[in-house]
Amino acid sequence: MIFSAKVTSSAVAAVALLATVGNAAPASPLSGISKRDLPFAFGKDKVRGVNLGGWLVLEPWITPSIFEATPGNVVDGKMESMLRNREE
Amino acid sequence: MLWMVRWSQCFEIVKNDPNIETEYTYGEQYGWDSDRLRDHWNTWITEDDFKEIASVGLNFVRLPIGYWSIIGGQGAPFVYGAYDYVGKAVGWAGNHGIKVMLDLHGAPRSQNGFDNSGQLKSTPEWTQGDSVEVTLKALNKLRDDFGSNPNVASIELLNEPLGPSLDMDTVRQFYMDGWGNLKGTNVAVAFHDAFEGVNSWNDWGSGMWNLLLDTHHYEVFDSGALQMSPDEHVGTACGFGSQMASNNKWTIAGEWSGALTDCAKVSIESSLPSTRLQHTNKITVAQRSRYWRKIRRHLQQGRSRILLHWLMRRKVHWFRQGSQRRRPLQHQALHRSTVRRIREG
Repeated sequence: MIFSAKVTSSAVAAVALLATVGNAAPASPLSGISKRDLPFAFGKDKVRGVNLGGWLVLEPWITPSIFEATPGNVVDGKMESMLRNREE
Repeated sequence: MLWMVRWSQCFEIVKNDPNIETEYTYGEQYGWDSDRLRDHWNTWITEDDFKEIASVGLNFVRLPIGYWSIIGGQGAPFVYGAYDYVGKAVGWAGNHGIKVMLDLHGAPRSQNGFDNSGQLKSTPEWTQGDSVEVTLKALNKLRDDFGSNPNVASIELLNEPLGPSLDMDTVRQFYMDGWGNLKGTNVAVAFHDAFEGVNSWNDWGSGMWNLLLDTHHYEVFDSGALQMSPDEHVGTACGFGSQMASNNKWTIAGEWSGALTDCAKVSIESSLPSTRLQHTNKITVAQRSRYWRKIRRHLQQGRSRILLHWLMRRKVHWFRQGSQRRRPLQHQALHRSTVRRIREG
């Protein structure tokens, strides 16, 4: 597993650690002792959720269409309008 | 399950301009005050999504946001305006009984170089200059605005800082400072494992409370993973779940996927020398479904469990819900499948 200058994959690293993690740490009291009440009972209730990816942070692989109609291809406002209508 | 089979052929995504591939370069072109993205913000996620998320039995969303949306680009040309939607989302979540993790996904100069940090870089430059200070400033704004909101259960200090390319002492200090700023709030302070290993944080954080370790699990982004057999994938997921469960902190898989193939043309590995990683094993629908069941169960061994992607556009294995309004049948098929998976889980 390498971290070459070209590698920009978070997941590469995530997979890499699978091979490098050693023995599990000994069990000890949770450090998440609640000093403040939380709206969610972490450690007790189960988190079953989803990421709202590609919405407020753009990710080209999720919303490639946003990056398709770029100036290199859009020659004027009319063409941009056509492109955007085509996306509808 | 026809959609699953068809998906394996991969959808072709055309990306025309290689020069505009991140939010930074997008902003450079369109200007920080562009409202060109507003249509996207108004439509990509709406309250209906929260309603649907709740209806299929989910209780949590992780919401990525860039620092530039919170406090402006501080000289960087990002498009500004997404922050309004954080407030909307938190309200919608409350309407439907869903808790929110606010996730600082992009820091100044990029904490990992990935395009989803806002800026594509060969190596992360976060920690240089005043970037850490600006990051803490953004987190403080999140704290002030949402730290006592009953719908917000957690704030994540920073998504995926690339530990192997950063000074980890600086990262740890940043985590401590960030936690110190947030400790008086009613949120769990989430921090990513920085790719240091999911079990590498047990000796850290003594005396700090409400810490939530976030770790991400994918098995598709390198040739080694893609060469695994389906059984090896299951074994890997199982082992990772056991590691999560052995931690002495609340641990969550803040991102994961049941995908065993990566077919996006505009994708992370597109920056690799080879344009496409090769799959050496043909994976059947049954094998893929089994992996889905297994990885979901195994990752749930952690004391808190699982977040995965919601939105989809073309790539159903990565997401939970179809946003392909033009493909209602596929959307319905995916949705039924989603419900079935949730119930099975």
